[in-house]
Amino acid sequence: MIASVLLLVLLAVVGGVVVVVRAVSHRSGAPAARTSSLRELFTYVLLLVAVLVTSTGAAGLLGQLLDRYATDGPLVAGSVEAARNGAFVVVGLPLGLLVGLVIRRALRDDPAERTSFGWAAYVTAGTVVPLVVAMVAVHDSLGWALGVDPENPRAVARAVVWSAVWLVHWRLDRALTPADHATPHLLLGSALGLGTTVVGAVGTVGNTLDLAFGLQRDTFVDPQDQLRRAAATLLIGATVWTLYWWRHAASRPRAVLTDAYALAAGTVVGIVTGVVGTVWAVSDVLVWALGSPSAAGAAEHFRNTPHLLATAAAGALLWWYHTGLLARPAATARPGRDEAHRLRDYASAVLGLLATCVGGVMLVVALVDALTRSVAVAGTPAANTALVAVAALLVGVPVWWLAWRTAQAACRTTPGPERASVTRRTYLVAVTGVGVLVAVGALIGVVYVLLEDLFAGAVTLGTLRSLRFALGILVVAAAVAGAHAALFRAERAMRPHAVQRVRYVVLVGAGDPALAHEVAAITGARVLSWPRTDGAALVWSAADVARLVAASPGPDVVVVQTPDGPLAVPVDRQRGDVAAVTVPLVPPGAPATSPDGGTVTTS
Amino acid sequence: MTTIGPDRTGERRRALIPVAVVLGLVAVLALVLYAVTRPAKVWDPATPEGVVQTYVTAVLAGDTVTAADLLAPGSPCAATDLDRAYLSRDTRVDLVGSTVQGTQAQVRVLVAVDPGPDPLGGNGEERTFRLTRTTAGWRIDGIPWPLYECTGRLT
Repeated sequence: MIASVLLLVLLAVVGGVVVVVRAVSHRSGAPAARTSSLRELFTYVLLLVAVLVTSTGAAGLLGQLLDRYATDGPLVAGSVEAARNGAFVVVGLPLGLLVGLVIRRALRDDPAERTSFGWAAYVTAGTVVPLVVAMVAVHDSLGWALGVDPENPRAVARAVVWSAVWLVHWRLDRALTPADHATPHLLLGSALGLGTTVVGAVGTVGNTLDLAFGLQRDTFVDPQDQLRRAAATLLIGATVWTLYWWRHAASRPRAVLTDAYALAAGTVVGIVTGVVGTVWAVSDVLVWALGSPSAAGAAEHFRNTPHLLATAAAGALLWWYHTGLLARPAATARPGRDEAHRLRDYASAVLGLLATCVGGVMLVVALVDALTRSVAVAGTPAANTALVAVAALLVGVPVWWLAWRTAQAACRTTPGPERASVTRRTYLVAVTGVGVLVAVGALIGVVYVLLEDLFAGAVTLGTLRSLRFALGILVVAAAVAGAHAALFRAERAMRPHAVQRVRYVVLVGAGDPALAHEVAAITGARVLSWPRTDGAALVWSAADVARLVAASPGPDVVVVQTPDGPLAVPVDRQRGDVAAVTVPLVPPGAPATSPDGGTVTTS
Repeated sequence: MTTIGPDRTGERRRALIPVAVVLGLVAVLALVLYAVTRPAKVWDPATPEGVVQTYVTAVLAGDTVTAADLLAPGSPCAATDLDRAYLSRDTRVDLVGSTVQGTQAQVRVLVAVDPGPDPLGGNGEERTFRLTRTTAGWRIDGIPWPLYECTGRLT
């Protein structure tokens, strides 16, 4: 469950990033978002509250019934539970029926209601919340059925009631919501199913290996019970994922939300899971072979290794499957490398760089540790720290290098769009900025410890030892920030001056979004494309438009297609006070008066 | 006899459906509420479960003298310890299981406070009562729930 929640948070974050990047990189042709009234929103909120309250009450009452008449029943029970559940049903059920009838009428009378924000939000919450409750309840019920948990009739009642609530909303969603509005719901369900599946699969494989090799991870928990619980988690997660992703969401064409899902699940979760599992497992092996293991025997030292290997394998599978989704052609963008591919590469580079930095810091720490060993009293041997650092570098460097090599190859083949892309510039600036901030923090730490010992008259080898972490962070952060700052400066100098001069291009009469994307990619400017409404279809050439834009003095350009070819008009949209003149409405033929008292002739 | 005007019997019947549904729901709800508010099953006081049930019921009712009578003779706890215990009046105690081995018995219960705040059902914690068979029947040993420490002093 924790993994599912984390996946959802990541999905939201990456989705936000993709939306911002796309909005920043091309602001053309986005339809105005449909605004729903406050009244409509409150109606749906009321229905959702009624449904949740009624379901809680009904599940509680059914649980009490099963507890009393299907098992031995409670030893002592008050009347509070029955009163609460009764109140929930007595109030919630009529309220839900009443509001439901109002909304049913609205959905029947106005087809646009099905595409409203209120309906999409309601049906998403009305399926996802019951889904989460039902998944947990089914898991608890399976625990009882498999004999690993005590009898739990209340969980069975919750599973029955909330599954029914989910089923009703799922069928409503399938029947009423247009396909393109159902994507958020399907992706949320897919993320929940995927997170649960991964946790269950790691537990199943890890505990199976534990049993096969005679290992026991938790001293007080039977591995057989752990395996049964993990198998139940896997069964539930796989069912939800198959229904939501495999049967429905997987067939969706690439779009912002599906790309965000693929990036969150594959790039972020996949790489983090894979790197953490691999680094930990490799360092266990290195410490056992070359270092000083603290455990008495191999069974104790390697008790986590099966689960770490399973985690690493799960990360690799997540990365492989979801990265493959980004290779599908997008429905709206032109073929080739787009921002989602750049986000994939630069996010991978960041994660690889992070693992590499951790390895670098630990290497410096191990070095200082070894140099100042004479004042050490106890703690992890320097060799073990160095071996963990080596493991982090062995995993982090290839991950960073593979992603960075892809990005650099794109820089060589299409230098203009790649270097001008928001993602690459953000990556370089962010890595430099974070590196500088971390280095400054570490420097303050170094100077503080030095001054503290200096003022106390106690600058010894122990001072250097206590500085080992701050020194490691300082060295690595400064190196990373310096390298990326140099690269950013070099790339900024390489950008042609003319391309930088034009900030905004308006293509009047060009309706093809692909053309706008192409012009934006070549010029690095923001491009707005207005389609013609008279049906005339003149042929636009992206290369001609880009040449005109490059030759224009700027700072903004309006391009109009004439029978003789494209015509570029340099304008300045920032100087609206001069350019925009309000013309008062006057009768035809009468002279119009300008705001400053002069006469403006309109034609 | 002839009927004047359109026949509205079908419409009237259809109009009765919602009324019947509402009445049915009310009847089901009343039945369920009656079923779940009946007194809990009373266990035989000669069994470990019955002793624990009597003890827990007395503690929750504030009858600490009756509860203390069910403590084993060598118990470190007394009625004064139970007087100091804080309990919510909304406490529910479910029987999880029991084992008897000769003169020793264990009764495991799940203590939950209603209304449970967790819709996912995570409320409640398991407690174990240890009992010894004496000449007076099963008696509770050790420091039983809801106590965590006992002085054993009667004043």
